[in-house]
Amino acid sequence: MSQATKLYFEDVELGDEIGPAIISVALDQVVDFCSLWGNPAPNRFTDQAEAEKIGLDGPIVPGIMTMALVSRVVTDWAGAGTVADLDLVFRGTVPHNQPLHVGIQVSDTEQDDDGNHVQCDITMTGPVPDRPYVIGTARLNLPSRD
Amino acid sequence: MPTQIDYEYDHSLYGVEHESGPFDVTREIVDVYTRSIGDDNPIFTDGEAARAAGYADQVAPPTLCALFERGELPDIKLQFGRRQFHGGQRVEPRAPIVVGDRLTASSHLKDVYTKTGRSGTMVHVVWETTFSNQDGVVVADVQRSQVVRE
Amino acid sequence: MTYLDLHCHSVASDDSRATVEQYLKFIQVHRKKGYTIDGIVLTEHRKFDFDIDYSQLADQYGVLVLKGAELDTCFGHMLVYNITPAMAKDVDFGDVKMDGRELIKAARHHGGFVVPAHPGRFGIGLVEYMEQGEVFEDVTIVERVNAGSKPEENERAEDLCQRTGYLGTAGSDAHLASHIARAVTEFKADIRTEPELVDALISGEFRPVYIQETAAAPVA
Repeated sequence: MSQATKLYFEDVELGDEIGPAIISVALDQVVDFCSLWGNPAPNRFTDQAEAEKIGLDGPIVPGIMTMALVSRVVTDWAGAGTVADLDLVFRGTVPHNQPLHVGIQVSDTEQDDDGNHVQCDITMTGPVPDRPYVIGTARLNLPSRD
Repeated sequence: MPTQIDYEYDHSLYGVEHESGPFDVTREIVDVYTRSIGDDNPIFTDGEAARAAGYADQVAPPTLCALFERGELPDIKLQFGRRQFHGGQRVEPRAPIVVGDRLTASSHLKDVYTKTGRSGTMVHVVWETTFSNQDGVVVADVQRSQVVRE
Repeated sequence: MTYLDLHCHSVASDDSRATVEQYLKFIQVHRKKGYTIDGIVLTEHRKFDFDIDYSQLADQYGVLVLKGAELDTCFGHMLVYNITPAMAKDVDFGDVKMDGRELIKAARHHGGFVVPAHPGRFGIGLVEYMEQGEVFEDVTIVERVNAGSKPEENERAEDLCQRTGYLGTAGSDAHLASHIARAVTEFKADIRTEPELVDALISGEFRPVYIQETAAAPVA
């Protein structure tokens, strides 16, 4: 799928909006992810009581997993090997089992000797377009049709 | 030049590179990572598809290396706050990371600064890490901002 | 008439990811849709750079670029306009616990003007401090519309204005290029400089608007 959706520089215009892609994260996904960085369950990312201990309403999605999910949305659109820079600010806690809307908007396009660059703004919000959980940018290097 | 703040911490960490690793990029790690984020891009899930696309083997998604940085950074002994959360993360892939790679990391403290927000005073602790592979090729630069709250 | 975004952050602020040029490029996207944006005021967090000059970029894109700052104080964040070297000498911009009331006085003393930012924001807005009994005699204008705030936070700001008679400005509080100018302040005056901005604020002849309201004709 995403391998086939190869994006070219000429396909992209300043101001283009992509998505939002709507994703959600289940507990077993977070448990798997946490096992990768030596933070086995239960912890504040996987367990209600552990989350409440530090003042959270419930378990949350870890920041680096949130980043991985955003990265997936970007590469689903642009293809593997296109991300040159992904830079995110985590503004709020990301809940489990809720629709997460990941929006991409093209905020700059530029061609120079190093290639074809596309800068995108990224937001992740809940279902209400409220203050985002995450904001950031992705810089992509895209092939040209020429 | 580090920002001046009102709270004590270990300034001797500035200008020092902290080496960590090696970190083996195994097929199992990449598979669990892609499965847990629902990524089915064949480049990231299938060695054969990746090789057909010109890569040496199954490719790690661009942010996977951030996994290895976590837990490896020194304590700055900040005399402030009780709670920590992840404030931001930046990953700049420089070269593909593929299954079978053995990475090492070199991290340094970039800045410590304060600001105020909904939850009161916060101290941001910013680290920069460079990952290299077994051939000495820089594969990614990573910046992590950890936030300490009152 | 001048439409200015009075609150935005470039990459000079730690949590912004937009360059000034990206803002100016994105304003062209808004203009193509029929919206009117004349300029922006950069309000970087806790700092002000006297040396940086955006006039060439401003000319290139036909967008006025003015400079201010958003400072952290013990009474929340405050937008400061027309910053002068004398003011910067008197005020430690990096002091996140500075006395907001003193900042307002110092700014006026030096020909500047302070507008409390996002006063309805929970935990950090002026409303919160007023509810704790704090009095702000020198406040006359607040940021009534902040496009980065929650709707209920902007409602609190609006309530504040109605209750107190404060006038209200608007700004995007953009940290991303695509968020620029989502809310702007409509001034009756023509504004080209920071002192003119202060004069226009003191005149009281302005109102906060969302970008949709700047269109000469409805935008599809």
